[in-house]
Amino acid sequence: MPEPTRIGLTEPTRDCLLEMIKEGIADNNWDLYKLAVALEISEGNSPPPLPEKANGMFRTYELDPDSVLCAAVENMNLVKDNEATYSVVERLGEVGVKKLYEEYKSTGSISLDKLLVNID
Amino acid sequence: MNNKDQIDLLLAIKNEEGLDIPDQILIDILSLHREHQYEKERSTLKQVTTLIEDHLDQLSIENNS
Amino acid sequence: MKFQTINLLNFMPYRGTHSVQFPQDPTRNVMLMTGDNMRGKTSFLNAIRWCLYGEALDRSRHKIDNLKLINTEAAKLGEYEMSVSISFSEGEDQLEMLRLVKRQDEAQIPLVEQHLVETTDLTLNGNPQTADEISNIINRIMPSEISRFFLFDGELLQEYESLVVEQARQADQIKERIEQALGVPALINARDELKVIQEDATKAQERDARKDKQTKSKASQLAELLASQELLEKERAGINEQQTEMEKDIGTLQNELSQTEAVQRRQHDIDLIKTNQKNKETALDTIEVDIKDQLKTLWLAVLETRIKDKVKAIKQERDRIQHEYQQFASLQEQQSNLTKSLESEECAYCKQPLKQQERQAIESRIADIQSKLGNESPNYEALQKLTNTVDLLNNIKGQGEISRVLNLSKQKQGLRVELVQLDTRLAQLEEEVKGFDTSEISRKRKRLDQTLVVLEQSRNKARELNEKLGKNKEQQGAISKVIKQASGASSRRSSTKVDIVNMLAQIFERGIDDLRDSVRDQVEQTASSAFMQMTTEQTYQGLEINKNYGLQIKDQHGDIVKLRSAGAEQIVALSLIDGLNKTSGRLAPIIMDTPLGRLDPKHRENVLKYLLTMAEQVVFIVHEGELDREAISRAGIANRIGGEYQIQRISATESTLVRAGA
Repeated sequence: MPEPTRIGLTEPTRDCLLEMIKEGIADNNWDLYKLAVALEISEGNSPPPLPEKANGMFRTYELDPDSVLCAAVENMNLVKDNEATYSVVERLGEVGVKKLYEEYKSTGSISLDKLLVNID
Repeated sequence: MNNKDQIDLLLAIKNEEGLDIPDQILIDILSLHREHQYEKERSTLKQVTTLIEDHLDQLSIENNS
Repeated sequence: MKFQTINLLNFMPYRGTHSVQFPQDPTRNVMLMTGDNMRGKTSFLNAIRWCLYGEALDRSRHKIDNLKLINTEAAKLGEYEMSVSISFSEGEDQLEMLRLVKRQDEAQIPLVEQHLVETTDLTLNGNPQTADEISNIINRIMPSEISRFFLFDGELLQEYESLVVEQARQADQIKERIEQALGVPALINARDELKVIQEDATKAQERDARKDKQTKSKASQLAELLASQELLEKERAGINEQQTEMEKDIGTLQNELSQTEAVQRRQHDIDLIKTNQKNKETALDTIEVDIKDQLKTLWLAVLETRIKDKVKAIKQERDRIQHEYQQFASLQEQQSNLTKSLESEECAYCKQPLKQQERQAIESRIADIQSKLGNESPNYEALQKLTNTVDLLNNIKGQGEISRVLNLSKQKQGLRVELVQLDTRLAQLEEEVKGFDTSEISRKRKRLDQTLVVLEQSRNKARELNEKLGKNKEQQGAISKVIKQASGASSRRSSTKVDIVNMLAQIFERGIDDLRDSVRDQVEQTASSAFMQMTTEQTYQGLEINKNYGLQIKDQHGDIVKLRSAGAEQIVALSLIDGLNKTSGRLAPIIMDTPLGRLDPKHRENVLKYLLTMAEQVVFIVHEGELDREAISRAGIANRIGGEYQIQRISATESTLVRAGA
């Protein structure tokens, strides 16, 4: 399956990301997006399909120049046959960002200690 | 300290300093002031002046005689 | 002085008329007045003070207005007449003092002091005294300056503690009062008047000397000195006036600030909290920045943790295939070498011709290797792929971001909690200072500090002027002597007068210092003796006095006991009171409000026994907890009690005096 050159978020989820950046949760979109993806990868669950079309806000070679995300997703067996790896990354990002946003909305910040304590 | 103690104190000073004035004038001035020391409006200045003038008159009489 | 009766009308909590008879029998010279707190014990003391001196004092020793002294219940019923009368004896004389307050205008409800009129009456052996004389007579018998040592509020003992601190400003004021009580003013007043007479006498001498040719030049020198003296004295008077104003200002400011001391402390705490908050908020900001910084690569650390088992497994597989591949290559090499040997008929290793047996062995070995090599060669592609994957996954490496972020989050949490606590405390403090103008308080504090500095400078200036005046007087004295020796008969009287007045002034001047030293020694001796009778610590040597009449305890080695308990302070203060009373030579009733409050039972016993000996009449105004029957019996004073009253509560604003046994 050919890999997409751009991935992104659905419109509503993109707004969530931008709101969190505006409130100072992270310095830029990439840092928060990659963290969301990494947290979802570590959950080990296959992400559901996107509810709507995503916006292609990230170039994959800029987002993942060393193909690290790609390697991680593949080796965690999250990519099914005939699936493009970055499409899985995109779906993981969608779920991850939504989860972070829910946390932020209810508490005013993202509890990194809660998120990380299970990982460490 | 009572009146007598204070008088004794002043007389002792007088003798120590070798000052030639009669004891009585010291006693009179002190007694006058002890009597009136707590009064707000004292008339003691005039009375002390009179005591001194009386003493000077006495001296003058003694010198002339 | 001996009290006989006190009558109260509508005074403070005592509504209506109340009468107290003081014991007259010298063998039963103790009167007990018992009452709970806030029932009227201190008011009784105030009644005596007000009657004799026109002043009732609050806890800060400020005068209470007459309007506030009138019993509340009486005032509500329109009864604005208030009075206290005391009948007492002084030696052979019988006196009756009455102080009365009533409203100016019967038709008007008094709202301010000016709506009340105060009158005093004093009869001496039945003869009414003039208004002008009343104050003089009372002050001759019991000067108001001494009264604080006879009308004694035990709870204000701590003001005597300040005497121990030599530089304390309050110490100066108390010292002044003590010296007034001990007769020092008599000498000071005499000296001051003699100086005035001295000045006039010197001027007269100068005038006479001017007329005489022999002494004319000396006269003009004297005139110059007198003129200079006048200027210096004018300057000093100006400075004294300024100092008085400053001291008044300082007193007012200190009073105002002491009332707002609690507010000032809270304001200080508020300032500290705000600084603390600011620091913590800055720390919080720094942490936020650090966390965001960590977020840049945190995702790598997260992945690394998750993926490490996978990487391990992949490496193991890679290593397995690599090992297989190496084995395969080795077998292939062996096979090649053996085949070469067969074809060349010689051993590939030792180069010797092969025997038949060796040929067979080689053929067998080749067949064996063949079967091991099988049909499949190791998957070189898979090995490459695994190696690439390992290399890729090895890039997923964190730099300890997770533990750092966890640590920072913990710190952030801690700071947030602390900030909430600070907010709560701040809100509480701000509520407490609400209504107070804290910036005004700061301004007053600043003004006080500045005024103290200026006052000190002024005092230095005054000292300089005094020195100059001293020199001036010396020079005048020298010239006066010369004039006297050279003068003719006409100026002799004026010169003699100058001489005499100089000598008198000199004696009184020195007398002041000597008297101060002498009375201080007497006070020390008497107070020390009193202390040794009251203290339970018999290893102490006694008390030592400083120049402010502050007393310190000397231990068995003669060293000063530095830290004193509240009880020890009370006994030292009581000792000072006794020392002052005895040294003043006055005999008057001692009326003590709460004298035993800070004492343990043993000390109470000692102190009680001693207090009985302090005066002809002793009145204890106590609460039950301070002096119970057991304490009285232990102190052996039960048969010395000549009168007992209870202050009983009628309501929050009314009490009554009930004679025990009545």
